[in-house]
Amino acid sequence: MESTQQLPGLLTAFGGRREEEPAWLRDLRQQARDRFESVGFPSSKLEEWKNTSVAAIASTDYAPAPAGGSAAFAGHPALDFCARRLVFVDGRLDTELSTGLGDRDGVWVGTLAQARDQQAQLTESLLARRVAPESQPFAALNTALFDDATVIRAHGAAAEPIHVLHLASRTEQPAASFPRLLVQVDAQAELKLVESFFGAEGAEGLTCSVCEIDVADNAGLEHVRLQFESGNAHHVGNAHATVARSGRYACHAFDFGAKLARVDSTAKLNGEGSNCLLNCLYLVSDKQHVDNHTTLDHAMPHGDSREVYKGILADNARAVFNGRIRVQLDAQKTDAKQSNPNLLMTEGALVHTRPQLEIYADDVKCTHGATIGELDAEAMFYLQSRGIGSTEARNMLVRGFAAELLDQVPVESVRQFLEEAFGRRLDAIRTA
Amino acid sequence: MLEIKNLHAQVEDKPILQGIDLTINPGEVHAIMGPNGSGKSTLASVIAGRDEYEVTGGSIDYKGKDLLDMEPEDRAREGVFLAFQYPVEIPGVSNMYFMKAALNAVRTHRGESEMDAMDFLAWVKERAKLVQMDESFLKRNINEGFSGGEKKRNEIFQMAVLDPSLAVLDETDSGLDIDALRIVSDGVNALRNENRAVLVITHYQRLLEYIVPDKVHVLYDGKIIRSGDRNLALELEEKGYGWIEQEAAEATR
Ligand SMILES: Nc1ncnc2c1ncn2[C@@H]1O[C@H](COP(=O)(O)OP(=O)(O)O)[C@@H](O)[C@H]1O
Ligand SMILES: [Mg+2]
Repeated sequence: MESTQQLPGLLTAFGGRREEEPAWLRDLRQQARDRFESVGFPSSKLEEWKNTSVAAIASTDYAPAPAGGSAAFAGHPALDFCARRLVFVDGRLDTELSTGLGDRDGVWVGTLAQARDQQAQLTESLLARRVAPESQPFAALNTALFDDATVIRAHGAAAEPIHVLHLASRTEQPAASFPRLLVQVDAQAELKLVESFFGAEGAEGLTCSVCEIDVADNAGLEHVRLQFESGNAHHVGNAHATVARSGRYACHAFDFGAKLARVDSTAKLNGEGSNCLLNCLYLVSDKQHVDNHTTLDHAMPHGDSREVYKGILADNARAVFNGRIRVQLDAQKTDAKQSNPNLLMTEGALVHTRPQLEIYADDVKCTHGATIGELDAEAMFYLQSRGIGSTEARNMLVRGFAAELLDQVPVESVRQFLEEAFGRRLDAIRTA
Repeated sequence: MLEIKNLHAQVEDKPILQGIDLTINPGEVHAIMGPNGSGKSTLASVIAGRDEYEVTGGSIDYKGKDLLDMEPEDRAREGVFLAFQYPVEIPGVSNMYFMKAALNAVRTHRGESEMDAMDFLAWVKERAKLVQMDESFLKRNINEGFSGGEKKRNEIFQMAVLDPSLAVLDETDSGLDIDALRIVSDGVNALRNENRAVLVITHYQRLLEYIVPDKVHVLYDGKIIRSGDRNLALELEEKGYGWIEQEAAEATR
């Protein structure tokens, strides 16, 4: 346990006014709080955290950011991703920047407070049921401390994508926010959702987020998750999706930001013939540290899962990938494929990669592969021998490495943004 | 155009080229033949500028410039082209994108303007026809999933797009069936002109029936041990490399 003495500070600073909340929510928060107080911040002695130290988070005095941070984000490119969006600045919903709340285009969008009136049954039945509490102290912290959560319920085939955008200001005292997102995709419904985290340059805060997703029978969700926090920020995220019979869930994650990022993504194939895709591209440089822990949990037969986590590392960056695939006894005819290729641009970069297979059914196909390599010298020479300069050749190869992930992003405005952001980051990376 | 003098090169401290002399004038087609391991690809790689090959002696003059002093991309921009014996597969980068970047790099170097998308498309389509390459290959990733023959065709297609002054074709015939060999050779022949020099590297005489060379050289153990006209290729075919090897052995005795 590290610095438990900081806990009361964090818990009181963000205690908030909870009096208006219903009893069930207050209970939930109290349980989460108790749990977090008993386990504390995870220590590096724990298997799940052995390559990622959160000591810097545990020893920081976070305070809520002062109000009025919105002005600094005028003209932010992420505001143009989608016509329908919820924008949170330092954890607070900015109703002026947000558009399209309410029920339209087959989707109800609102806050938890609004949902308690309009979608009461939904929120109580879903909230906090998906997070595995014991291994997720940060999820417990989020449950104890989140302000107003976002609730999205798709009941038809939505034409428009929806963006939930979190913006973090640069503040004098490091700020923390606890974004919470709850998504329900009803049977047969379809939705494209963009969830993103951006920070002002130099922002040193903590984002501790939880996203819970439920995809019903024959429904489909395309989830894009952008982690573009400031290079001084800390980001700890949990995303948990449960997918019912013949449901489809795809997550396209891009981790480019933060000094330290840890994301736990779990997809549970909970109905027969369900289909999950977890894609992620992490691009880190300087002393950035990115840790992805994923779980694909096959609980029912005929499930297909695909997982492609690709890493590009420069300078002294660190990446951790732990890919767990669980195939339960009933999950016969499972087809699971995992891959984690990593491209090291410099000698100082380092990757820890580990597949973790737990297979209890006997009739399954399950493959995994991880690679850690440098740019292919043959390929470099091939491009150069056609007149392409060495920097352009390098960028072309790295872009080629990332292509399948960039190309699959289902929201065109976001795909274009990523393409440009990727190019800019690449240009800034010097090959040693 | 190309003047190689007493060229010595090694890889990983192992001497491979041991004094090559070779002069090729504009418009000429030369063939280099030789047994496996004699150093043919090494010579091609040194000309193109692959840095694993260390030049330990001699010189290469290309259009009056010191070729060995140039980066590979600058050699290409000056008109040197190597058709690889083993073309490289590059995932995620389309042939089209690749050729556009390459062509524009060459054009910029020549002081010409970059080609716009429309003109470029028209140009590559025309050049693809030279090697009967289906347009669908333009959109595909570089050599990814191409058959051996398709890869070789793609090399000649790239040559056609970039319009080099000196083309070195390293065993472009290997792995080709007779139809593909004819298509590729027709492509190369269509690109022959009085300003362009071509160095054809091959293990077999067969290719030289289609691409008829002005001169034939035999490379053995890192040296050109014999030069002649196309009849030398026929002689080699008839008598095999054993004959040359024996002569070489006797000469050194
Ligand atoms: N990259 C390399 N590393 C080590 N040895 C090499 C390398 N390239 C070529 N060689 C050696 O150099 C010699 C000549 O090779 P190469 O030029 O490829 O011959 P050829 O093309 O005539 O078959 C061979 O003995 C080969 O094994
Ligand atoms: Mg060879």
